[in-house]
Amino acid sequence: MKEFWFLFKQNKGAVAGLFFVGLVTVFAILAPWLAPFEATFTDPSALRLPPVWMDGGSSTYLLGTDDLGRDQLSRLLHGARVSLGIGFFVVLFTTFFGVVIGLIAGSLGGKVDSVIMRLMDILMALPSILLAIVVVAVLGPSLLNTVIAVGIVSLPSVVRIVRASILVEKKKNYVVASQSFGAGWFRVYAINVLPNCVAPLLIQASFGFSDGILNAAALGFLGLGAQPPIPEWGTMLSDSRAYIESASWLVTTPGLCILLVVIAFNLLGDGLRDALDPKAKRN
Amino acid sequence: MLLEVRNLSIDFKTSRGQIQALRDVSFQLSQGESLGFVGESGSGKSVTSLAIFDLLASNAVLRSGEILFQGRDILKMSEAEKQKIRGKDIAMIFQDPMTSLNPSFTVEYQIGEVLTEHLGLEKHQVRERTLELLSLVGIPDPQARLKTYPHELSGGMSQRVMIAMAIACNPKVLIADEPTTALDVTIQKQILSLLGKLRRELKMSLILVSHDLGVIAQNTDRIMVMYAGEVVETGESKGVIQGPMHPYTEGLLKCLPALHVHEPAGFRLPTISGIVPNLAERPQGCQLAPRCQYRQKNCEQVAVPTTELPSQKRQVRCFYPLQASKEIST
Repeated sequence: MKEFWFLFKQNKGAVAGLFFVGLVTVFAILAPWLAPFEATFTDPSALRLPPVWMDGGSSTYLLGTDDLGRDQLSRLLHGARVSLGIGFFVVLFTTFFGVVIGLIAGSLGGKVDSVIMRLMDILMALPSILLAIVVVAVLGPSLLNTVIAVGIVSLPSVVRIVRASILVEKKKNYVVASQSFGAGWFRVYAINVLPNCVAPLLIQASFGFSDGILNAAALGFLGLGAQPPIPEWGTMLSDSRAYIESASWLVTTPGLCILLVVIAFNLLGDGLRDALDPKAKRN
Repeated sequence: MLLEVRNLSIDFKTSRGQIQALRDVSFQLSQGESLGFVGESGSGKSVTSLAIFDLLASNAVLRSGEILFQGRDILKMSEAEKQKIRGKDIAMIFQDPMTSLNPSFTVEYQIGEVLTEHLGLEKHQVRERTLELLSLVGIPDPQARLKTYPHELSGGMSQRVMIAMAIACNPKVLIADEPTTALDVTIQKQILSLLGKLRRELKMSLILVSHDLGVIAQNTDRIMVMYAGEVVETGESKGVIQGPMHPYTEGLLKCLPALHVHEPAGFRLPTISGIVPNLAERPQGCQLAPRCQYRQKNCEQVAVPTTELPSQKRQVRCFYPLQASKEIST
């Protein structure tokens, strides 16, 4: 743990990423208390008000208001909840199913492995956003279905990573040793081998978070994700697309939020990889 | 008989075709006895010991034979029955202790796992028994070692932990597959004497696998010499060392530096010339024939059967056993 932190600290970008992720998480958790208004509160007297530093801005609405007179800052803060929540549940979904499927494929091998991996190849061959659209089209647009759709899209990469690490670990002596002590399939693989595959999974989870947020935002932008009035960043982008020239702050702020969060998670993932993956250690 | 292996033949499917890894291996192990497997790399020592657990790689094919443990054939048992025996009645110690322990778990967890799985002990009993085992295998300050991870232990310590795991359930048979090869010489001696002590105290049978005839001779009652997947000679350790009957055993003995301490400086150790046959292209007759200085014409053509010599409690796979021929010539 100490060694991990030492290596992680050397990557300044990763520390910045971690800091920003932590900050956004705090914002997301405290959104109902931090936000000056309810996410759905409308002020008919202040439609499309610019941010405070622009001409005509008001200090009541720091980042301005949207076309229905809702406070942009409050919506972004509440949106952080939604977006991070989606990311979290997508990672939970993919990690759980990815581990189960990857474990079965990697440990059993043979035909089971071939069938599972070919199915994953098919999933990977489809363009991710298209696949997500298909899933949402079948299940109907909602927040939960967004999580499922985005989860299915990012499932193959987790399955591959788990399977690959299981295949590496499988050849190690302790696996035969564990079998020679009478451990069955479940004990050998799920209890003894799996903990040795955590490092690549953790890295993947970090990237999965950003992918999940990005894909969910894309679905939201297409109107297939979170439905209004839920303040999801992608949906906010889509709603304000019509005002891209007259009220550019409405598009800029949620876009910036998505960009920064995704960059932060990617930096964090890079740092984790440098610190956890011995193969990537250069010095 | 506690453990009896009869006519075990195992093949491996490889990209170069099916190769015969074990040919007609038979041996017996009685209660409390220690048996040594000796042979060069690839002679089938480790395959034989893993076969007893039925834990060979998936490309292994059983051609014939049975492995009787207390009269029941392990190879015919269900997976659940085998799991009950593995680690409880038959336990194994591996060559490289540093990689045979799981890097993600503490010493206490790994020993405890065996205890809870096989004996169903409660948590506090596990702790007690683990401490007892650790002190039994000579680990100083066992209490402090409970929470250590394998990477924090030295090779010798890791091997002691392995031994503690192996003897946790008082197994009837302990198989030690080159237990000291990865350790340095002083530790080697300690581990071997520990194994001997534990065998006497716990009344276990021991199978000691090594390529070092000296190690085997000092630590076992009987010796089984293997060459190219066949058993070439079996007999009591003393007898085999004093009067090897198979030319290969004789060759192995002559290679031992300890036998040549009185030779002048610059003396060259004898070697067995040639190399182990490629198992994919085995010689027709005796496997050793191309390397054997005593070979006759028929050695190269006819497969050699095992000859029993009950008077000397010896089995030899050779047409012209050494001492027998000496007796004839004198």
